[in-house]
Amino acid sequence: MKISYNILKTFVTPPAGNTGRSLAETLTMRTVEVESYHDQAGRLAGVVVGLVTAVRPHPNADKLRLAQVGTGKHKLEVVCGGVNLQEGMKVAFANIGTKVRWHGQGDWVTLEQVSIRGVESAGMICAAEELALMDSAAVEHGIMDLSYLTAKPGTPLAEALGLHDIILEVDNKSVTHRPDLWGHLGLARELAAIWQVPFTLPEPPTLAGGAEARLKVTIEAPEHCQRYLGVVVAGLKVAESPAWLKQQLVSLGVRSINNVVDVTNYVMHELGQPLHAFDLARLAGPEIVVRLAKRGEKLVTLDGSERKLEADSLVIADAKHVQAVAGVMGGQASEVGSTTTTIVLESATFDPVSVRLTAGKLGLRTDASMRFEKGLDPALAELALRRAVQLLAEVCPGAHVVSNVADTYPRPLELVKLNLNLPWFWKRLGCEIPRAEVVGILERLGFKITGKGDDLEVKVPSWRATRDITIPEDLIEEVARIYGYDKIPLAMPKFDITPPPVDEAQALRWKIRDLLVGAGWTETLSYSFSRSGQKPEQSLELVNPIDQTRRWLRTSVYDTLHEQFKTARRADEGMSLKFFELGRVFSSQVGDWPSQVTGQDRLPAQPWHLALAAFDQRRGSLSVIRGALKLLEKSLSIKLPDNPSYHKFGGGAVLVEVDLTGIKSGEARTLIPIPKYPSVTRDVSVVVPEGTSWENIEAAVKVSKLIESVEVFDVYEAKRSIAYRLTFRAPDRTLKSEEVDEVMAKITKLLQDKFNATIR
Amino acid sequence: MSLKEELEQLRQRALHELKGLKDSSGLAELEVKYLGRKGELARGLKALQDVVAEERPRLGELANQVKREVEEAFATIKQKFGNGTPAPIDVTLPGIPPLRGHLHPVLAVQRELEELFRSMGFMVLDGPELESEFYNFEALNIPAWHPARDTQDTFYVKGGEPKNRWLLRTHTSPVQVRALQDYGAPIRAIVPGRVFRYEATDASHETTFWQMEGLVVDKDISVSHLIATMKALLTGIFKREVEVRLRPGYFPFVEPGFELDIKCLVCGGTGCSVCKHSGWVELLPCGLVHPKVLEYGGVNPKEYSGFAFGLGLSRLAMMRYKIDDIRLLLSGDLRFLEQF
Repeated sequence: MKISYNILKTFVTPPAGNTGRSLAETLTMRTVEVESYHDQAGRLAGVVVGLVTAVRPHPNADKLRLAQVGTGKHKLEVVCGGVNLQEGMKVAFANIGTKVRWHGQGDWVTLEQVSIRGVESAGMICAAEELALMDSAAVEHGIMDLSYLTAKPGTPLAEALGLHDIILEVDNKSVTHRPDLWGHLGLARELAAIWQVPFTLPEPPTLAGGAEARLKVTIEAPEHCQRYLGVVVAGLKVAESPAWLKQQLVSLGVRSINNVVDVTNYVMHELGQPLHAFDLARLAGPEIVVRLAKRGEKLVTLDGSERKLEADSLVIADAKHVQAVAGVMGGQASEVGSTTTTIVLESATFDPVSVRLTAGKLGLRTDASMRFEKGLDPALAELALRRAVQLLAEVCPGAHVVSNVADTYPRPLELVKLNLNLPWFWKRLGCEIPRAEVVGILERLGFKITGKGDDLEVKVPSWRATRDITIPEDLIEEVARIYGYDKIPLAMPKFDITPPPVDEAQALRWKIRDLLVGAGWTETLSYSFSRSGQKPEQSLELVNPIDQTRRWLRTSVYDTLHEQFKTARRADEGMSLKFFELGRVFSSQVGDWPSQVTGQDRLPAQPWHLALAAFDQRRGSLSVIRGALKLLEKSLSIKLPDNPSYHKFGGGAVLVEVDLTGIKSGEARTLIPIPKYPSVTRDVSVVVPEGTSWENIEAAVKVSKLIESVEVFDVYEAKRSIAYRLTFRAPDRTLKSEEVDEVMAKITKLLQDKFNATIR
Repeated sequence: MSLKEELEQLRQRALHELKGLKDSSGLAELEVKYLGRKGELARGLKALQDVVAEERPRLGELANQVKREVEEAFATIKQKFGNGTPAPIDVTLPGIPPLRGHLHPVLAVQRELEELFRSMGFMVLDGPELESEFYNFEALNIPAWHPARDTQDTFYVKGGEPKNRWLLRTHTSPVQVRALQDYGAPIRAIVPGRVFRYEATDASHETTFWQMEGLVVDKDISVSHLIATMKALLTGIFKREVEVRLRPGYFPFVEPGFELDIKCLVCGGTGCSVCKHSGWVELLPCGLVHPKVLEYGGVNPKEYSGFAFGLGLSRLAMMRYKIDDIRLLLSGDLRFLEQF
């Protein structure tokens, strides 16, 4: 939203010395975020009024001429292509070093002294668009004719044209909660409170009303429309707006249409109240019905599209047809055009939620709907109507109200009164702002204060009472921001030193990360959205996916990691890879988290999973993963689930995923005494038939208490050959070779008998 | 020839050949011939196995003596030939790279913050990523009419109740209420985690990113406490004194609400492209916990007050490592991940 300093100044007299930057900072620190500012005079620095004293042909070009330009002290010669260049003409002259925009397009460029077709040019005579100005008298391929100006040559152009506005760009998101700040009026009130200067509320004359027409307004849906004011204005002559109005609208980024429409737009920006004008001649009569749309009703809106209206959308109709979508956009049928002489002027307060929903359904967010969505002050509707009538008479002499002033106000605004207890306020703020200062700030913002001592009775002004300020906490901000947050002293809170409880599951995940990263694994993160997941029957679906092909929530990390993993492999062909992700997955089964404070409703289960994906041709992808899982189990004294899910990819990569639900770090380990006697090791290599699992072999070979460990050290999958090392030890003596041989013989027999294994 | 004779001859041959050497050339060859793993001495020692048991000790001793003598002779001659100039060692060779894994940059930043907050006595909490409308909005004082509830901003999930739909949490703030319900007041907690926004993806926008919520509730917590704590926290994060400023900001679950800016760390406040020439960088939203939020959490707002703040973990990681495209965080691109 663009804000003009010039318009602000019609409501407040600012202290001297404001710049774009200081205004932006003042508002940003106290009220709303100003994203940028634009100083018109600053941009025109270097451009002066020039007087063309002589014109002669360019020696080398037919379409160019040479002009002598007087700029007060200097006489300069420049090359000019303007078709309307004449001796004695006053022009906009840009000196070397000025920023201009070639033909009004592209970036601003700094003017340099250049030779044009062999003749040096000491500056530039500009067309309006080259300085981003408006020129209603512009001719094609022409320059700006400023002969009408009384300013002497050499006068800065900004001064000569009265261009001394500063335009502020306010971040709309920072004012979503402030219905009063969607026009200049409200921001001026804020500035007056900050600067401690008087604030002048505009007082357009009271509408007398006329007897020539009778305007009838009926509100059939009062829950959607809080107040509706309307008058019939006649004697209009639709024409172009005067220059000041056009210039002002352009600087606010609004397109000028005609004097009537421009007045309604100007008042919206000035005061924050959207207005609408209907051509009375194109209505069924001077009758307005505020009602809900009927099923199947359609309207061609001002932008030319035909809109199907839904039954709960509020519309403005005459006796026969829909004429506007209330608070969003008018209809083409009753649009103000060149033949319009009489209008019905609407100034209403529509329900914010109703307007928002309707605008949303139509996909049509307008300057009007954005304002109504915030919950406007019903009192503003009345002021804006008077202001619009006043301005119409100004831009269109002869315009006057010919009807009664229809004012239907079915739901008067409820007063908001709050109690502000000063000691409470000071405690919450951490700063004792004196009573007089608190009262002063609140009063400057429009609050009415009564009450004695520490308890202030605060009456909230209508423009803040629609939904913005409802509890005493809201007043802390009002006072503190104007007072200045920078004046609040800093103090660290004091807490007891009880150590915080630790979430074991989170602690475990950090330990897993540390171990895996230490073992050379790379942590990755993938999205939670997937194509049809691993367990379609348990998949949860998004209502509004951004990517239609990924409309499911992952039921496993595999669902989303496998694609990422495949891409990673392609980018790094042939290299070994070790990836892991810790993340939540989702299932339609009921989980533990409640979805409400009361009741038994639970959210879907969303357990943490750990997925490891590896590609290792030399050592075998699965072996690498199994090794990592063993590392976790041993180092953390945990038992991972027995049934991890395995996925094999083409080319030998593997992904293994485990559910971490319920896994707890084991007991702290205790020391196993350092063995006193040496161990004996024996390596065995067996070839077993396909389908024999190591798990079974490992369990079977532990036939003696003397066996301390069984460890695989080589696997040759193609032949199902497994080499493992047996370590024997006795706690009380050095083992004899014979003892070990005896056990080995037993194992050999067992392997042959039970597993049909060949010992190599 | 008996083994004894063989050993004697071996000794003489070896010593003789060594004497014949004029310089170090041929020395290595000779060493292999006699002292190598399959050299003559080794063979001699192996032959001991075939000797009758009673002779073994004596011959064994002889064999060892021969070995010692020959070894000594080699050592002497090596010294003589000036073995004092060892082959030069290239200390600039890189060595064998150890296995190195990589923590995701967002998690690296998360860990650092967790440690910082834990040192200040904060709990680290976790919450569901699939939330209910109640916890994500209503309990945070975001009413039904609020634009944030639009499908334009929020991913909704099929299922749930019509009046309490399921959704992917849009912030970590719902855990404020869950934490108050579970632990009551006083409380100090942070909540790192994954959050979601319905948003078209580009270099600075993502559907999925990481946040960290902070919550402090106690008796008489004030704005003054909030600012001081934030300043301490930011000094901890950036490891240098940072200047902060507070300005009004609107978030329904805090009142008053603030945007906290830090003085631009790049230009020091004079204005640069990073701070859009304002000298300040918007860093974290914060405020005093709204009384309604305390009430939903089962805490009496007349008795307790608190402050809450939100840190963008993805954004902090991007600031710290100068990552210019947020999409890299979820890309799984090894050229990216292996830099951390």
